[in-house]
Amino acid sequence: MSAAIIDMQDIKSYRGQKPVLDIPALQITAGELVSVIGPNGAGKSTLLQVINLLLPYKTGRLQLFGENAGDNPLGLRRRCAMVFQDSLFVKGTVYANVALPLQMRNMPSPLVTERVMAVLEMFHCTHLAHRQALRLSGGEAKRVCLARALACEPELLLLDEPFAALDPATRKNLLVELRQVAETKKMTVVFVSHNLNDVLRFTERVIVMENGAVVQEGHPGEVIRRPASRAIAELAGMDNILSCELESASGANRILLGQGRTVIDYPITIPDQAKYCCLPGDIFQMEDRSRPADPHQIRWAGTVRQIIPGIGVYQVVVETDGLILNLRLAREQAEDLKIAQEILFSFAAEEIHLI
Amino acid sequence: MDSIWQGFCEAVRLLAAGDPEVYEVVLLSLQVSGLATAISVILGVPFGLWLALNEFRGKQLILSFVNFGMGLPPVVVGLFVSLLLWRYGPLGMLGLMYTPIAIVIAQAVIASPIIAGLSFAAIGSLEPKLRLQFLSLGATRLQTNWLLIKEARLGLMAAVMAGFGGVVSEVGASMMVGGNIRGETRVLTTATVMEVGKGNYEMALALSFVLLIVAYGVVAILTYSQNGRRQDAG
Repeated sequence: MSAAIIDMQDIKSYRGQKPVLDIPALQITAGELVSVIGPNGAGKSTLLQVINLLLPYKTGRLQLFGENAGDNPLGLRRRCAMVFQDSLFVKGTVYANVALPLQMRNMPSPLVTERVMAVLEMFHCTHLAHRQALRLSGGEAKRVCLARALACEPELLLLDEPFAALDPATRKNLLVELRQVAETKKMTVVFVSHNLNDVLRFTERVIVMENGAVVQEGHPGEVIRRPASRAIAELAGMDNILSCELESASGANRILLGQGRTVIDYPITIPDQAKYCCLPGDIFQMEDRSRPADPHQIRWAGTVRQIIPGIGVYQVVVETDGLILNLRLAREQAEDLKIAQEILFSFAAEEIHLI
Repeated sequence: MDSIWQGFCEAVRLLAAGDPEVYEVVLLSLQVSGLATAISVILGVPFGLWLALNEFRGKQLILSFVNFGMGLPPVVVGLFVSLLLWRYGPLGMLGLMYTPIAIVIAQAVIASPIIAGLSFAAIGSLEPKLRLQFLSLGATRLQTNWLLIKEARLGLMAAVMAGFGGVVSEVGASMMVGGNIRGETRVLTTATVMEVGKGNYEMALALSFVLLIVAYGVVAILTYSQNGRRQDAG
C-alpha cells in the first residue's frame, strides 16, 4: 500500500467563532486522483487551503508527505501547488508568470527557461509564451495556470474548481490532458468540482462534503447511486428525489409516496429518519402488458408527459398517481413513445435508495 | 488677470535667469518634501500593506484613525511638532527646532497617513486570493508582500504622488517648525507667505508659479514612469 501523502486526524478549523472544517480522519495516498464535491459552503475550498497550509487549523494533526505540517510549512508548501478558480496572474507575459514559482525558489535562469518552455509545451501553449497573461482567453488562461502550477513539479496538485468557467469541450480536453500528465508523473491530485461529469472523467475516489464535514466517500458511481443526503443527490443529478413516509409493521417495510397514494413494499431494512426516496432514472424498464408481471419487480403504469432526446439515452417524463418520474430509456425504446401515451414500466425495489 | 500673467512671466524669468536665492529655496523645498515623502513611504506602505492583509479586532478603529490622519490640518501638526521640539519640550535636547529636519518631521507626520491610507486602498483593491496564490506557488512571506506591492504599484504611485503633493504645498507646519529662516529653512510655501505679508504680490505670485511648476514637474516624472511601466506591461 502506498504511503499517505495527506493524513488528517481530528482537524478542526474556524473562521472567527464559526466552525468551517471538522475532519475526524482523512488519508490520501501517493498517486491518487481524488475529487471533492459538495454544495456551496460545504468546506471544499477550506479543506484545500488547510492542506496547502494557507489556512490555519485550530486542533488536530496534519501530516503532509509523512512530515508534521507545522514543522516546515514553507518546505511542505513548496512540494504542493494549487490552482484556483480565477487565473490570478501577475501583470506581465505568460513566460514571466510561469517562471514565477521557479524564481521564488532561486532557480538559475537557464534552468528556469528550460523548465518554463517544457511545461508550456506539455500544455500546448508554447506559442503563448510572449503574450500578456491578463489578455488570454479562458481556455488559454487555464492551460497557463496548470503550466504555472506544474512548473515546479509538485508532488501534490490541489485544484479548486479551476475549470468552472470553461465550456464543456474545453473542460473535457483539459481534464483528459491533466489526467494523463498526473498519471505520467505519478502526481497526487485533489480536485474540487461542482460538475459530476468532470469528477467521473477525472477520478476514481470521491469525497463528499457538507457543512465542513466529510459525509460520504467512495467510488463516483456509488456516490451517484447512493448519495448521503438530499443536497448530494441533487448535486449528483439524481433523476427522482421523492418525499416519502415509511412504515414498518410486523417485519414488513413499506414506503409511502405521494401522500400514501403509492405504496412500495421494501425488502431491505429501512434507515431511521429517511425522508426521501431516490430512484435513479436508469433502473426503469419498459414492460409489455401481454407479459405477466415479475413478482420481484415493482410494476407501475403512467402517462408520458415529455420526451427529451439525448445521445444513446432519452429522458422520458412520466406521470403516475400524481408523481412525476424521470425515466432514462434506450433510444430505440423512447423513440416509439408518444406524448400522453399510457405505458407500463418496472423496477427492482433493491435499487431504491432512501435518505 | 494682468498681475497673474506678470507673476507667471516673473516665475519663468527667475527660473531662466538662475536666480540663486530662488534655486536655493526650490532645492530645499524638494529636499525637505522629498525626504519627508520617502520617510512616509517607508512607514506608510508597509503599514497600509499590513492593514490590508490582516483581519483583527480593532482594524476598523485603526483604519478610521488613518483616514482621519489623511486630513490632518498642517497647522495642528506644526503646533504639536513644535511642542515636541521646543527647547523645553520632550525632544528639545536634540536642538532640531527651526531646522530643515524639523520641517521633514512635520511633513512626514502629514504625509504618512495619506500614503498609508492610499496604500491600504491600493492593496485592498487587488484580488484577495492573489496572496494565497503566491503563497501556494511557494513564495515566502517577504516574496509575497513584494509581489503584492508590484501588482499594486499604480495605486501605490498615486499614494506617493498624493503624499508629496500634500507636503510640498503645505505652509502651516513648515512655518511653525521651520521659522522661514533665509538660507536655512525657507521653502517655497513659506517664502510665498512672507512675500504676501510684505505686500509684494508679484513676487508671491512668481514663487507660487515656481511651486506649481516644481510640483507639476515631480508629479509628471512619476506619472510618465508609471505609464511607461504600464505600456511595457501592456
